[in-house]
Amino acid sequence: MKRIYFDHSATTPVDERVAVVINEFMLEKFGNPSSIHSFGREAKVALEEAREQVALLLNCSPEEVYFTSGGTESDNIALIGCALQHRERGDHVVISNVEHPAVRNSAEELERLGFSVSFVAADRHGEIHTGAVAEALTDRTILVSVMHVNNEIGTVSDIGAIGALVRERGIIFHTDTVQSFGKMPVDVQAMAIDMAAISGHKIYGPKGVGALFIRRGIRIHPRVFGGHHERDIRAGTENLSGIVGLGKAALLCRDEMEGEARRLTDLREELYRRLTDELDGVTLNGHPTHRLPGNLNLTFHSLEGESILMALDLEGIAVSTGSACSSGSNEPSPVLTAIGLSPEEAQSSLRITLGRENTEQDIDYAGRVIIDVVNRLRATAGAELPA
Amino acid sequence: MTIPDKRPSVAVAMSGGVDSSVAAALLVEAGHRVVGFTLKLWDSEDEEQDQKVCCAAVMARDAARVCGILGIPHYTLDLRQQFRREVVEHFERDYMTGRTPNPCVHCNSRVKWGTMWDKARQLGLERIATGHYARIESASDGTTRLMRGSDLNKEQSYFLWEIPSHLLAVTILPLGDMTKSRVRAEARRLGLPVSEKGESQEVCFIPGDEYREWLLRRRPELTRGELAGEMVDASGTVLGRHSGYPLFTIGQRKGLGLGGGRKLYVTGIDPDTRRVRVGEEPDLDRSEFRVGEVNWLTDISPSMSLRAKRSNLTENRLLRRNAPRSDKEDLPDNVIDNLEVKIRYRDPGVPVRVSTDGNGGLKVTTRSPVRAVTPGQSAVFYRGDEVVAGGIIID
Repeated sequence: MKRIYFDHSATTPVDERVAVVINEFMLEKFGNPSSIHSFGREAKVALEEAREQVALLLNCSPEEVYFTSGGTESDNIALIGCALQHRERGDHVVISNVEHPAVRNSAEELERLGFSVSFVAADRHGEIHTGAVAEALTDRTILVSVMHVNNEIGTVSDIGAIGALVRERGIIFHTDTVQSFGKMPVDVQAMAIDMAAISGHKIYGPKGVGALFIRRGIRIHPRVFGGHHERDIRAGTENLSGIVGLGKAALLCRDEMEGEARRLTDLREELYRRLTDELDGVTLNGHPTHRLPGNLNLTFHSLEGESILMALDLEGIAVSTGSACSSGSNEPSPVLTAIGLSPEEAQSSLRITLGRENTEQDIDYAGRVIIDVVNRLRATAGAELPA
Repeated sequence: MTIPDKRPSVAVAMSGGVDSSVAAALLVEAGHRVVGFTLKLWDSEDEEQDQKVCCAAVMARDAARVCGILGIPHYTLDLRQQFRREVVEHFERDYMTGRTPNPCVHCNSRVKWGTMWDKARQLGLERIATGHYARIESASDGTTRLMRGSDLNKEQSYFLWEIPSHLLAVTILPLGDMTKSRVRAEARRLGLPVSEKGESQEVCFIPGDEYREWLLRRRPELTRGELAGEMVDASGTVLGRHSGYPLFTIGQRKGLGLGGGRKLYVTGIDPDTRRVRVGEEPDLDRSEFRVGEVNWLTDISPSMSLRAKRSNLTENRLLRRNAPRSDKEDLPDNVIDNLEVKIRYRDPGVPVRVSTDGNGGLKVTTRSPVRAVTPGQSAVFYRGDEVVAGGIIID
């Protein structure tokens, strides 16, 4: 069976050019970057080169890049490590109401630790505006965390505007850029970002590796204690093969991001046009233009998203309902209900996320399959049981 | 095996246990296109964490592993809300009204079968299957008959009486002709990692099948002693007190708190007066009881003509065994003779005559007395190996 992968916001295949580098650092240059001998030295060189590659894409200095086990750990270090370190300055944290669970649940942990958390509401497109953030700030606010691109609906918020506002108030600004890094510009200088979380496996790099940008001068209370790795922020022998893979993936994104964004936007628009031309009762969730290039989040009214997902899977097409991090439960997506969908509409929704290996032929084929499946499901829903 | 020849595609309900895993594997081996589903019915997170509760996550993990080995898709369906509404709340209510429920019966008919078939149809699958030990036979006239499983120690037709006929008609039960030991042997032959798994517990949402502790956790009025009352004998003489009538079930001997001496058994529960009646062993015997919420699975319901009834009945082994009695010519139209009833799962069954009570219920007369007829339990009526009907014991 022909299989098509349309779930790139869950994870991506590792780029072959990245896999080659990872392989080299597993089989040959396997040294511990902390070792003094030649094996250690070549590993250390590679580690710092990867740091530079990530820094280039963020427009920061390599010393401001800390490698972690992934986006979730980066968000945890940013929120909890920062809040604990700056506790004497205040006990108030602001996040949006459409954050990824890595941020949302870190904020909940802060509540358990005695902090108070305010939730800024996104608008009906999922966009978070400076006005709403400004209203939430108090003189006890020490940290604001607002995501750049929403993982479910792909909406892009104006992080630069929010960053400028937060900086003006002397508050630390963290942004979860897991879905945007490598796919659109994330410039920590231009956007006045103090901390940014990134992940390897969303940008055709390996799983289990990520990074956190921490602006020089911002102190963080460590979450993992041990040796002096990552300047005491994150102890533990570096995941070197993963880190060089992340560096290589970032480098490739830097070269290819612009063209790829245009290509994926066109493919997405083409798929959207076909589906809405052929099917009734399909609506777009998220912003029509302020949108991650490859993200299409649609509500298929009167159907269960889960049923469409299974039916498409049996045809070889991989999509998702909501985020992969909340699968196995039929609770309606908190992101979709936060932007005003009813629980029924939220459960009728599907996330299609395109990526590097998808082609026009894929859109053509998958478009036809999706239309057939939706028509069949709608016919079944109205059909009588067999006699 | 009861697998039809044309190899329809099948949605299999998979708990991760040996039975449903083998059921799925046999269907795959026979050439069916198979999709596995694990039904998430209950979360141990809803209770205090208890390893004994079959946790939905463990079930899904084991089932996914088996499906991976079989090379078939696997999905988890979250049915927690439906299960709570249709099964758990009824279960609680039954005990609070002095009855003793069979939650698995209602889970099958009100949750599992309907959901599985809905999902199967949506995905273009033509049949549903489970690992139950019962058989489904299709007659040439298109009717479907639910039959006892061949392994009489394991057979589970008792739990399937409430399933609507149109759903039985699309059901495949691959283990119907197999013994449990054969199923384990098949699991080993097929290399399934679940071949040595133990039996699942009786009620999946009750830790350790300790229903009394479970009720005490969930019903504050029970803990506060508001359902306490008197223990009385048949004449109404008060013998002692109890801490709450939902904690008793008909036929119960242990935990009555009435001291030594005579062996006493619970013979009745009256929620209105909160009295629990006790008596000696013979007081448990009954020859008549009533059954409601009846589901007929065959055409021999009493509305049929006597002639049709008799021609159906003569085909049946039980009838032949009891031929002299069934040949009576004076049976009124609303009476069916020579059925067998099981009034609990582990009941060998007794011959009965049933008559309609005019309200959709049945009056059941047993040929010999039966022990501890328990309101709330299912009464399942068999003609030979065929399930002809079932219902809930009223009193």
